Amino acid sequence: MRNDFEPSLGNCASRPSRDGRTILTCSVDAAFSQARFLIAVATLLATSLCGGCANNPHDPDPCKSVNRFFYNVNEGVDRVALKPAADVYTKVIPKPIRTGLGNGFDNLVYFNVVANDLFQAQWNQGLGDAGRMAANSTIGIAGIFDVATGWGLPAHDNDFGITLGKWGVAPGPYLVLPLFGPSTLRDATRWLVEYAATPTTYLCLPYKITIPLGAVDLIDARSRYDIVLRFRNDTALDPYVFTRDAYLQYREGRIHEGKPAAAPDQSIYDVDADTGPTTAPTTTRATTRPE
Amino acid sequence: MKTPRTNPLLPAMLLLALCFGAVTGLPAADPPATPAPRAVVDKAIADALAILRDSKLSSDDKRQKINKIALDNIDFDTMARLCLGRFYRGLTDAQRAAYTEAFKTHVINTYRHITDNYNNEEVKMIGDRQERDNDWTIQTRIVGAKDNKPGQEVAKVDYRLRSRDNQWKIIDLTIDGVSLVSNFRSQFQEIMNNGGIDKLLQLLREKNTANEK
Repeated sequence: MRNDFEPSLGNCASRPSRDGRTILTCSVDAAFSQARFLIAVATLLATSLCGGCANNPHDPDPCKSVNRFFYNVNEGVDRVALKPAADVYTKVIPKPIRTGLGNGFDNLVYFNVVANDLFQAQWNQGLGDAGRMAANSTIGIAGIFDVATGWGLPAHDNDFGITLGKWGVAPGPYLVLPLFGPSTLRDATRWLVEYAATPTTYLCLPYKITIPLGAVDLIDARSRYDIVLRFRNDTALDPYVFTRDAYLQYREGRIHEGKPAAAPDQSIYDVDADTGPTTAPTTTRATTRPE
Repeated sequence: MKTPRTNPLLPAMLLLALCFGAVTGLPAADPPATPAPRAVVDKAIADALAILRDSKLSSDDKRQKINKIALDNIDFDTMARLCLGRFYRGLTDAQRAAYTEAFKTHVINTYRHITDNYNNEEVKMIGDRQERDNDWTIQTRIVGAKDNKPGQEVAKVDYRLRSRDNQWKIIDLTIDGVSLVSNFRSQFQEIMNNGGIDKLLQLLREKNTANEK
């Protein structure tokens, strides 16, 4: 591993190769320096974001003003670039090809799902997901054809934020990350782990390939989210709060899957409770499961 | 212990029980196999799926019929009240009525997304439980079918029901862990804190006008 701390996002092929270094070490090297760069950026962002935050332990969103700022930035980028691009993409590219591309992108980052299944000691799901990835990467031709679902190996969704949550790590403050969208301090780690668990990270691909590929991935993801965002735009009176609350509840639900009624807070169902919405620690009621 | 055959009172007791049952309209002593709230959700879903799958209906007809099911099965008064939380107490009767009406229209309008996006999905009942406050939660899964992700789980939907005037009605929907009441509650808290009920009513009405176009 190189010792210099160099914010290198370039491909390692452009660097002078050294004696005795295989391509793999070179790639791991590059990946490490990129990861260190990302971590540095993430830490910087997190500290600058939360520098002036209020210190109320019950407030899930102490960095509200910074978050709202980045939320608006993200919405702006979406409005002028992502949504128009996704609309064209949906119109121009036939559905079977879009499905194939989507499958391919999902498969590319699927090792991250397998790894987190294992981190969470979900051995059966991990084994199934490993089989799914193996089948789709080979018979499904680089993941373009999803043959595994038909064989009883459906897709799962898993990441390091959920792993940490299941290990007992609290979400920390809600964060809206530039371009990455809603997250929490805990969940922001998912991107680093996903980056480390993606094979292309170690392939030294040139920009000529990674940038268009990344762009198509982003546009494809946006097109798949369109249905959700249209629902949000019709439903939400305060889209920022809608997104924050939905994100936090969804993630809590994922972490406590299988346990009855961990969320939402049961006191919200009491018409006589004179408590403030969302924060009502004194009247929280546990639910029982008679079965 | 006497065997039933030697009990001369047994036929009379049976007759009495039958008469009692018939007169009061009670079914036999056996409790129903499915709890009443579950039957309500079962029926609402079956009716809704029948409408969504009816190729003879226009999408406008479908919307109207789906809205009718929502109106029949959702307790909008309670839902609206829960969404406003503590702020509900501070409202005048007129404000409460205006708010409940606007809220109801808003929720009904979002049902359009169901009719517009339905694509052969099926609904599976997976369980039910009684909550501490005697509400019931009915858990369902929306599953893909035919050419749309057959057998794959599309969403988890839980219905929370409460009995009022001897009728079980839905007071909350939780989709993939996100409770509608809890989500609106967070939004309404923010809006009430910054602009009060007038701001909330204004936003609801603007949304309703936009969505009814």
